[in-house]
Amino acid sequence: MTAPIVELRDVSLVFETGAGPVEALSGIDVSIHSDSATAIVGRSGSGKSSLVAIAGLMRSPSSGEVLIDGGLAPTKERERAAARAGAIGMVFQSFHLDARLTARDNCMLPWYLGIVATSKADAHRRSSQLLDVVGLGPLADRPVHAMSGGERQRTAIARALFVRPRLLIADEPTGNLDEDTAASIRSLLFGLPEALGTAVVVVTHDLEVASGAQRILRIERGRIAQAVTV
Amino acid sequence: MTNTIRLVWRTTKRAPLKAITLAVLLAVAIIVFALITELSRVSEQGLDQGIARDSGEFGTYEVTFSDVLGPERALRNEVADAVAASLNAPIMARWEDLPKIASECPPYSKVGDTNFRVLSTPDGAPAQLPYGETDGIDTRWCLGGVEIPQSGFYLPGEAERATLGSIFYLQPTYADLVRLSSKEPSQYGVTLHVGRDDALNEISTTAAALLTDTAARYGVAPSDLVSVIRVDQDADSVRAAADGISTTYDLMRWAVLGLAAAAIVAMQTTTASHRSWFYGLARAMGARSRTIVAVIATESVAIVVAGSALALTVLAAGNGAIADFARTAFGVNAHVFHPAMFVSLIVGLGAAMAAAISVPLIAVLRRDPLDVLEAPRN
Repeated sequence: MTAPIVELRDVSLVFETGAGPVEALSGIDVSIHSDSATAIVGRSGSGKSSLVAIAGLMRSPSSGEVLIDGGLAPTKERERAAARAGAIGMVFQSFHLDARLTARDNCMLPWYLGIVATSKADAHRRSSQLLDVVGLGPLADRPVHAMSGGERQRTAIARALFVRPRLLIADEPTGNLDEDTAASIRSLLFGLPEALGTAVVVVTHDLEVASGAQRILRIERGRIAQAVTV
Repeated sequence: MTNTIRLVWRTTKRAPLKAITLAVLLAVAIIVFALITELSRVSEQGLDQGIARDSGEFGTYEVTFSDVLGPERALRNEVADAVAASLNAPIMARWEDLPKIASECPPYSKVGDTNFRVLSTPDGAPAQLPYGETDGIDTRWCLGGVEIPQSGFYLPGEAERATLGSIFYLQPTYADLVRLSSKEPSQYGVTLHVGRDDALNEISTTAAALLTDTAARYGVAPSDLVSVIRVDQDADSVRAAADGISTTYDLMRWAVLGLAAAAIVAMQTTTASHRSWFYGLARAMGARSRTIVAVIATESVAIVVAGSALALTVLAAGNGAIADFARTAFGVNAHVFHPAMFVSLIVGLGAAMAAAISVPLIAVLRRDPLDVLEAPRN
């Protein structure tokens, strides 16, 4: 069996606040394998976002170990950024798109920023493929400001996939969308392991959205309270 | 880097108003900066010339040798040259002050007993003066039955008086006539342009030191063989006023450029703050810090380059008209493309560009990417 893409071992995260230390996560053990679809559910403030921030190498834990492909993840931000660049894509509740640019240009942002080194023609071709995958092929050259919320989130997903991530983390991706659109985004995200071989972790407070995952982790007060394999 | 430029170009192309506004603002500032710089240069030059005309060249001294050294021409020249070399001060003229004489023909009392000066160039050749011009005084001198005509004299007019003094200059041809008419000896000396007002003692000391052996030979103190006076008028208050004007111009031009730079820095920082999600996202995706620097720098550099190009184009187009206007209105030769202006402009723009890059960059890098990415934004 191959090593997990990301593995968290006995991870805890403590924030220092004016009122003293606050434990956001405690004793977290999670493995994320390729081709898997995981949903993390829980109330606001339960520690969901902190968990994926550590799994996505955006933060270092206060204690415990984070492993990438079986090796210890770097702790320095510069090295973590380099590790993220080739392995992890992220989608947020806010779409974080440049409304002045087209869907294609937003999708190609990693190429513009030198995260993906390839020719312009290849970058163009890849953006077309990804926009097809997320169902926006015909709208590739439409400015984002003329798109609906669902189309914007699809564009953000295409952009996250541009770096060919082995793990896509989506933090409340349907939080700004209506029910129907949320359902289509859920289908899109949880279909990615099969379509592209990308592991997906979706953080949500919506059980309907989580129901599309192969595994559901429920977080309560910084701990994994329940793990269900569907 | 090329991709970063492409990205900035695409975003700017779709919303160009901010970049155009800042470039035009900077262009106006550069044009005003160039005009004030040239105005400052021209007025400073005019003031310096005016002060020199009225008060003499700043830091000019006359070194007069004792009449004991009258026959020692070679020694006098040697000492004068050595003092000049020691102070790195050029000799402006050599001169001989002839003994005081009175005219033997009428009108006897018109100018009374008078000293004449025979002026030579630094290398000892007769100085070319406009002999015959006596500032309106119609006079002649008769000595030993010989008349020296008015064309043998030159009396500096008002414009030259600060430099040449209010004394009569005599054509060298008539010098022997004056020498033979008096039993008194001539006095010899040189005029030095040191360029500072504190050199009097230094000149005296240097000259006296060179004359130590000669003084011993004549049985006098070395300091008795040479006297030094400063011949330009102090004019400190006028010079201070001129410096004040110059400082005011400097403040004005840097204030104009500084205000434009501050506007660009403020606008770029505000923009970076509004786009903090973009930089947070870039960092979350794994973009290197230098790429973030490149994005911010490209936009700031583009604004500065566009503003500079616009300003230089306008100045180049208007340079002829500006020069004509300055010549007609003020009688001065003005040209805005003065090298000194470019040097200070490049320094100023460099500082503005550094601030327009570093201030927004610090604002961007100080924020935690997750904080901006998890914050609600539509």
